[in-house]
Amino acid sequence: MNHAPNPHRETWDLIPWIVNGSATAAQCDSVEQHLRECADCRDEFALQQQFQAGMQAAATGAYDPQPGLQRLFARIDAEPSVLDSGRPPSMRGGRRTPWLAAAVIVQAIGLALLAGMLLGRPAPELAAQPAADAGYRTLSSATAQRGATIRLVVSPDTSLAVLRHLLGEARLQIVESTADNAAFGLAPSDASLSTSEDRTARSVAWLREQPGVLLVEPIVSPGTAH
Amino acid sequence: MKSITDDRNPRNADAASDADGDAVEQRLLAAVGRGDRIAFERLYLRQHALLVRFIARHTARRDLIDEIINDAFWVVWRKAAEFRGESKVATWIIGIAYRCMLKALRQNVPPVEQDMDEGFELAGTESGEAEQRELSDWVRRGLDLLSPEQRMTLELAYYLGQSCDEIASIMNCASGTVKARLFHARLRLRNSLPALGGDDDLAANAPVRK
Repeated sequence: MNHAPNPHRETWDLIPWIVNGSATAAQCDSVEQHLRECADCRDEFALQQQFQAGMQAAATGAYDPQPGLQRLFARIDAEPSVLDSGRPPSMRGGRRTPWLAAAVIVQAIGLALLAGMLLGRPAPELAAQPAADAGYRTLSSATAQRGATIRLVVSPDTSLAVLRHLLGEARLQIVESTADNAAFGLAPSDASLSTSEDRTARSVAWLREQPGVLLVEPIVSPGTAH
Repeated sequence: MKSITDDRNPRNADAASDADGDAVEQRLLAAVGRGDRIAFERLYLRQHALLVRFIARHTARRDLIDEIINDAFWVVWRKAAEFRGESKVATWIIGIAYRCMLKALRQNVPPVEQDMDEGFELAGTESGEAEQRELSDWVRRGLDLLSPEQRMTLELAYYLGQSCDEIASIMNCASGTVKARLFHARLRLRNSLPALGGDDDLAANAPVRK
């Protein structure tokens, strides 16, 4: 049997990919060569070009994407755990559900408890201080056990996800908190990171530019403040 | 001399720029995987118009279009870190949007009549608007002749400029299936659709060779 390639069929099959621009250069050359000799395939090529042009012309989006984007951010804020897990959890459903809001609250409480534990745990260099000192601290007290270098106050409506994003970008962590969690003392998240005034100043400058940050200032330790 | 195929989609006329665009989107997606909202916003804005145009072919309801796009980007936000570069970022996102659209349309029966004139502006200058509208109507009549799978395949190819392999990936089928659907769709169009502007020998009467 003769299995010689049928140039009409090959060209016919390639025409859509030529028209939509996804064909290779060799495919373009092959089709072009055939079209020079074949009026039927030229007609088909013209028809498909016309059809594609018609589809492209059908509608254009005079459509502001911002409202939808803001709704999506609000939806993302309702599920902050995505930022924390190394592998994002699988999609659990298309619509926000009340338990998501509950999860946010539980996480916030967890953060507050963690901050409380950190405050309540005496650091070695402070262990000998009077017990009255260990129970309560304010951010205006002497530098915290783990050396807070920055004081941060964020707007009340800042989500936990945004706060974590800010800290992650600045490579900072919360080492102090006021009793009402309205203000935080921050320190480099990695012990190997510098606590120099220069780095602190850079972090402060960056944080001041972020939305939702109400106050950020360097904490001057008693040893350096004169 | 001008080549016969020179008028093809300009998307291919600058393949390097297409590759650059994908490289940018890969960097954005990687940043999204690390929780970068600014990168997420940029990626959303890059894809939004294209997705609106694509989804608007299936529903004129803006609320549904918004919902489908946001459902898709909700998945993008959560799955960005799992993207391994098996396809272009745009193809990956279109695939997600395609599945979200099928789900949304199933949940919103009866299917919404396509009425592209309602809520959307036709492309083109004012003077060419009538021609554009005529062309769009002609295309719509043609698409109405096709099965849903054939129509979707044609839309992915001509509307979004996806390659055969990319369409196979988006529709979760073999590339041979994509070719077969396109073949039959075009056969149907060629034999049934009156040519635009009375150029009868272009579409209706031309024989098909196989």
